[in-house]
Amino acid sequence: MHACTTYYHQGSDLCADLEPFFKTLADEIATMRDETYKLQKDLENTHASVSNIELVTRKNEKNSPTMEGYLFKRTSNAFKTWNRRWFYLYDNKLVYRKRSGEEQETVMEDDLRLCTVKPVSDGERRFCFEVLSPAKSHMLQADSKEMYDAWITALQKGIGAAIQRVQSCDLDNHKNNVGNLHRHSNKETRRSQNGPLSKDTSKMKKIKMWEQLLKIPGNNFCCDCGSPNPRWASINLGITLCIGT
Amino acid sequence: MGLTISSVFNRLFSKKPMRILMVGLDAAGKTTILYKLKLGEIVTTIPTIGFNVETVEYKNISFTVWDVGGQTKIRKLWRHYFSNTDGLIFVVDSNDRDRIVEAEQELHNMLSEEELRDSVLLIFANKQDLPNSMSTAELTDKLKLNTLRNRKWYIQATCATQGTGLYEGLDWLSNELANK
Repeated sequence: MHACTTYYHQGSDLCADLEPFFKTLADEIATMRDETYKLQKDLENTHASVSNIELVTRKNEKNSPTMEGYLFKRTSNAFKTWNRRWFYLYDNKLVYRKRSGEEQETVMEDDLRLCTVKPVSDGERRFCFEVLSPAKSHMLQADSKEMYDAWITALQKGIGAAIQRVQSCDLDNHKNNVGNLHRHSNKETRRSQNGPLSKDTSKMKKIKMWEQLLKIPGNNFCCDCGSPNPRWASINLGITLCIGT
Repeated sequence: MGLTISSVFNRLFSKKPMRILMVGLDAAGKTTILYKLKLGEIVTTIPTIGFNVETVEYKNISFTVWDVGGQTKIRKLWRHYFSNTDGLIFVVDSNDRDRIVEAEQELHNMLSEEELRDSVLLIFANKQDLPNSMSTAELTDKLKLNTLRNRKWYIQATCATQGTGLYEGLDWLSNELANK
């Protein structure tokens, strides 16, 4: 009986001794959990920013090739020999060089909109495809099945994108043309009738232009003193100023 | 001597090449016609982006048929295909009464191009199997074919899915080429 009570007593003592340790342990776990949570947030943020940066750089590098690599090309002369060339697709063009990194380049097709790509299966070589345009045709050979598939999809995508992009460009041009016409007609009215009406229109136009200028970020403050609503613009420096003070 | 032999040989055995441009409004059936001629079967097609080109051999003539997409936004690319065209195939959907005026305008715009001055015109009045389709006479009227001057033209009723009328059209083209 006595042994039993001492045993339990010892047990309770031990628990009391251990209590602060448990407490610190719990605290530590809590702080660690907080830290991991913070870290996770941080990582997520960096991840997001990285993908943003990627997007931005991709936008900047519009002219970088969308696809490049070595292909064999059949010469168009009578011998029909095959040469290995470094091909790349960029800016609606299919271009090649003798070796990658070499400066001199040859444009094979300068307008992807007028091209089509056709797999060639009955040729004497494997992995061949043909790039066709209204006036020319080129026989090309890839090194492997993977490269063959990659080139065909890249070319098809490139052609589709070229057709899409040119449409939007055309639309822009159209808009610009309309704008020019508008400007032109304004000038004409000014020239034909130097009355008050034409002055009004030109004034309106000036105001409108100024509003547009101010809308450009950074232009709504004087470049020199920083006061808002500047009234002057320097054309050669590309800045807006106030002159009064 | 060698030259004469080779020219005789060529005349006897080689196939005359003929460059054919096939255009028309979207969904007229150009790609279906092309592959019906090439493969003899009906393939499932999607709206053509860019073009398809196939060589069809018929009656000792090798027809290189360029089938160019007909969607409104890519019609302005047609002119890039005009040079050296021997024959023009204009495909119309005989059942599409709403857009026949549009087809007529596109056709006449195209024919005013200098590069197509010497090319003959074949019109495929496609989709004749549909119940409400226009006849060739009606289409001749609607497409104002009788106003064409200095142009050899022919209108052929076709049904690409059954393959009717296609080779009759090629017959006419080959005759025209022989007469050139």
